[in-house]
Amino acid sequence: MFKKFWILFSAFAYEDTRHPFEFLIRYFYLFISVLIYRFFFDVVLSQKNIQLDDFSMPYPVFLISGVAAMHLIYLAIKVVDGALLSLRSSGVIDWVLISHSSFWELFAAKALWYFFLGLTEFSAIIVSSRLVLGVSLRPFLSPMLFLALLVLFLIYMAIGALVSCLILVFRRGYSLFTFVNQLSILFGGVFFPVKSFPGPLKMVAQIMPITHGLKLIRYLIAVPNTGDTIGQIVLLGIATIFSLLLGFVFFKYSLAYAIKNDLLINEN
Amino acid sequence: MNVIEIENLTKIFRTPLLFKKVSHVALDNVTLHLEQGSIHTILGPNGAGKTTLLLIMAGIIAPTSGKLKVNGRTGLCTFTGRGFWNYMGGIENLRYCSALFNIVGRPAKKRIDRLVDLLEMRSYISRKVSTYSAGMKQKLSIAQSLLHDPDILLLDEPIAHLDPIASKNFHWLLKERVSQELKKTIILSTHQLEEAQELSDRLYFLFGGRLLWQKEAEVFRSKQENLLQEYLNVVG
Repeated sequence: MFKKFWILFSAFAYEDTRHPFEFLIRYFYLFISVLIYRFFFDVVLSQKNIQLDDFSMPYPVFLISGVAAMHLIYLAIKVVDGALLSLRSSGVIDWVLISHSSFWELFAAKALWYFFLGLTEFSAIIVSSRLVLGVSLRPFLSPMLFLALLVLFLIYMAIGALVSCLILVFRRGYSLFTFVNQLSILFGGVFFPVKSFPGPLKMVAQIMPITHGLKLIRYLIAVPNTGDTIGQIVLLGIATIFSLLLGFVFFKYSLAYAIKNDLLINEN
Repeated sequence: MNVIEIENLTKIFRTPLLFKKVSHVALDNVTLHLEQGSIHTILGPNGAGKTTLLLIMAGIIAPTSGKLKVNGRTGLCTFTGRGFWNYMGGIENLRYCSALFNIVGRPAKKRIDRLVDLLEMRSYISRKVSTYSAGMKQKLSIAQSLLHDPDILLLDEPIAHLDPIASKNFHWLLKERVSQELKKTIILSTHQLEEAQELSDRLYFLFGGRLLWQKEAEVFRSKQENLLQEYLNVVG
């Protein structure tokens, strides 16, 4: 079981790391983006503190935590569709169908790889911000923060699975991934605190998981070694289980429909 | 004993085009019974429905109506470059494919080693698949399809990209190694008449999705009938 999972995981990992140069560019891009934020701070906000609900943090830390989480959720949204895309484009999907291998195993392997990749990107942004902005690394090393990131990743993976259902059945809607991602970035409090939004936008922000996930992540960074976030993590965990169940059920039926109607392979 | 039994099988592809769907009948009421242990060849021009029939037998696409009974496990080679991770080596592809069939660790290594030797792929098996020639890819595809020890091997246009020597070697490989040594039932599709006549035990002719005739290949080998003439009578 573990050996099989490791082989599936390695194939997805190898797909993204086959050109080490491209892989390095990925992190270099993150470093450059932090450099650009540095100019932004110097001109506009400097080291000004941002007051959130019941805690405050310097704006650079606020921004960097949001940007790092944003990279993680982008990968989470693409787990199911990304796995299907690479299987379909290579034709390996034929073997998945012939072997009656579980699609869920493949998605789990892709999810684990993307979570790992997301964590490395998260770390690259934090390390870059340490080098460029002088942000302290210590608050980012909390195990609770890791848990919060995992929960956020799983919720967005479930949302990605729901979007993938539409794409699988109707062969339309690829722009929905961008839409969900952009919506989360703009109205989830990545760049500005939600409480500074106008009324209706605050409501939009409240229905998005990233708003609550980011609030928790920032609290864990601002008040490290705190024990009073367990309740929030449990609540987010319940939302995650519900989202995953919803994604699982919808995707299961979409997959069966797609197999029955030849939508899964590239033929026709 | 029949390994595959097909009764009144029909396949209609429906492609969405703006606000309506365009239907294309790929297979029309096909009935077939394929015997165990033989080499069966499905003949027909391009678009006759040969690949669709093989994909249905493999379980990759579902028929629109009709009955299909497959007695045994199937392996499929499509020979169109599909089914590989091109950026990985041949050996990694075989390892990945066997993992999908839940064959991992020592049993997988043993099976892969045996197939690599049987198909004489040792000298290039570690290279990336993107550097393989068409012939090498065909061998890799056969190795992939034999990994889970299938009872039935489905081959779609197996010598389409091979030169005459490679093609002759491939005939020998299929007949001597896969059919006789490994005791597999082989079902292949082609529009190359000479290949079909030499290699097969039984021939089936598909045209426009319909099965027009089925005959013993020996009839053509012993020159009682002329395969080219039969072909031209229908297609020409």
